[in-house]
Amino acid sequence: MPLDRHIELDELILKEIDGVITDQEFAELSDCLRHDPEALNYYLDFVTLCAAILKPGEVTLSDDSCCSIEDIGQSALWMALAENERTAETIHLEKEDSLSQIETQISVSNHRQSVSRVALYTAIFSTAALLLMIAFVVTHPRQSRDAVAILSGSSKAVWSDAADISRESNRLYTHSTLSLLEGFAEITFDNQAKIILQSPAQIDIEDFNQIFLHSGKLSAVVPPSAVGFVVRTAAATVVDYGTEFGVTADAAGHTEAHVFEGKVELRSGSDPIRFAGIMKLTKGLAGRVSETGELSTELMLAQPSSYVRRLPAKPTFGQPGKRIDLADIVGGGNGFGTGKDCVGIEPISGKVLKDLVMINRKLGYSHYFPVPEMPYIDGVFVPLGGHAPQIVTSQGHTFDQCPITDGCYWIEITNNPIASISGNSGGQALDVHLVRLGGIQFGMPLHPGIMMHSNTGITFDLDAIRASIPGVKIRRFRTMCGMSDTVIQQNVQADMWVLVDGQKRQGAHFIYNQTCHYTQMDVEIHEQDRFLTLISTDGGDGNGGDWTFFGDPALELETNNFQQ
Amino acid sequence: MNEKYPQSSGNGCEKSNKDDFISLFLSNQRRIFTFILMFVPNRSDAEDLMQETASWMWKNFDEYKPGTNFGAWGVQVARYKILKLHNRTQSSRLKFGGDLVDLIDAKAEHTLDSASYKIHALRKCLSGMNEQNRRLLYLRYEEGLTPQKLAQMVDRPVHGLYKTMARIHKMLLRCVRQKLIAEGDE
Repeated sequence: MPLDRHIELDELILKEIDGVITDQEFAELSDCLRHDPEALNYYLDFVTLCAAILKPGEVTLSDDSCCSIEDIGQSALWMALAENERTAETIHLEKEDSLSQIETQISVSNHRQSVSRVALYTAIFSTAALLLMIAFVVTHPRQSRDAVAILSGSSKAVWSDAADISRESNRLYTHSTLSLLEGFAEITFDNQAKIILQSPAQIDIEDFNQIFLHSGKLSAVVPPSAVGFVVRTAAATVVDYGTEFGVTADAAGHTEAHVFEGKVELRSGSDPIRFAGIMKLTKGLAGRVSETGELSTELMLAQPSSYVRRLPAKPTFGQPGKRIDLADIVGGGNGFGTGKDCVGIEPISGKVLKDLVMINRKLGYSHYFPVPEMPYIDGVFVPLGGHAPQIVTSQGHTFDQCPITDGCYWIEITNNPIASISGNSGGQALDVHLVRLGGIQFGMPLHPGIMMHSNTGITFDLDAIRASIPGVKIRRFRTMCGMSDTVIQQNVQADMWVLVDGQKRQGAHFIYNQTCHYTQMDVEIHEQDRFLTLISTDGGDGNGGDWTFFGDPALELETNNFQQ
Repeated sequence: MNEKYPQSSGNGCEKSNKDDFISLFLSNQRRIFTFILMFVPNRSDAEDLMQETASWMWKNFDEYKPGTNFGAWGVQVARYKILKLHNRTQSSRLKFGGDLVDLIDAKAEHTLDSASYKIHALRKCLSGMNEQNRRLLYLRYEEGLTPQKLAQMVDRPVHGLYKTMARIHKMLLRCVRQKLIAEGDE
């Protein structure tokens, strides 16, 4: 329970210490402590501090400049009180209003008139409900809420109905729970700490410098004015020391902290003060805490590109809570626009190439290569078929139906879906252009694509993707795929495949100008499915002119319900 | 809360010097008083209980074995006194119920163990507090003016004074908490 909720608890404890508490107030205090563990912790801390102040010698309340009673006349004290009242934080007591409204409603309905039986029953139920509400308000000390932050930006944000945001001012209050179902939201605290939430995410704003991340993913930038900013999760606490970092947590408490700048402390357990273990993380490092609150001894490398660190300037195809853009993942991103453009992965080595070679006929040899630089890509390969089962995952899944190919490919697997014709001897790329399907041009922010000129394969690690976006299920893989509208050779053939854990889920054979040269693919993804593999093969006629690619390649998401 | 007659961990064979009692008691009285205040937050009752506890410890100091944890012994004695108080004042409205007492007991010693860090932080927070607030705390706690007296002096309602004091305490706790978090003291 955050501190601000305790303003009335403070009063009750002080009155109890002074022996002036009423029976009702004492009952309220007892009830609150009995039913609210955090209130009990607060009470114990409060009493500890009071005991220290009450016992002489523990702390000093006066110094040379303050405060002999003889020096303090009535007016000085009055001014002190008045000053305190004037400068005190505004406290909103929302339930007080609702209680007075209830009382008003009760007092005005006091004249006799004939009523129907239905109306009578309705009135009885309403009264019972009112009594329950009143009982709740009476037995639960009222919560005060302070405005401590503002919703400073969003992108395609969809909030749950219960999201507690002031419509007039976008102000955010302590004790509010925010559930972001889709998109991104940027929250700026009054002390200038800033977080970007990636959906699905649910947070409580606990204090002026502290949030509780129930589940989801966020990045934070904490300036010197907000050092000490705290992100609690169900099993861990991240304490900032003026830095930029990211946190991912699931509802069970698995937590990861990644540091992009500066330093943070990752502490075991959700209590920022009492904790069993601590891990200091500096720039470039990441740490992990298990659901039981155990710190992993293994230091990891931070993955800046898996966190959105500023709101997208333009709409993107990948939308948190809705769909993951696999082309962005090929670009080294997290599927929501953090990848780079024009990134290629060499299928004969797994190397990531920043400078694409446009024309580059290479011979592959069936081996499966991991891509260590990209956490969500399991590996790449050149499908050869025929000679031996084609391995398509790091776990050894094989694609038994893989057709025999000539083992050659033209360009790397890339998120820059371009095609070109080659000049003499393959030495020069001519007519470089973005590919199209059905008139739609791909390679644009809202229509990304993965160029996979025939005889290339890539496998995505669905478990790694799931782990990066807690609170969602991957439901389907959807894409448009085929040969570009711009193919210039007639009757060229190619095959395109979608596998899950090595099993063919969908495949299509294209003959340019004899069949439709593209199609939609829609594959259901189950929770136990681990790997998604995309393959293009040459259709048996060599790879010349096979401008094959996957357009709008998306993993469709379903957001789990948040616990309210 | 287990009701057991308090015994020190010593064997009682070696007579301790009762002169040591004062220094041991002074260095542990805050821990014992804090423990009592957790269960009996009424200050006046808590002070009475503290006196009873001190008196019992004084009379039975022979049972204390030098070198063992005097504070823990004191807390054990206080726990016994608290239970006795609760048993003899069944009708007191100021008594926490048995289930709540158990809840407090489950957390009390852990809170006590970390109290020194909190008090260290509290000192820092008090030194950084503005003069008006410190003045109010001083008048309330060091000069011992009751809220009623303070309110009377300035012709303000007692209710308003409690609100003010609650705000100050809240501010202090927030400050303590921030310092503990920042220092990672525990």
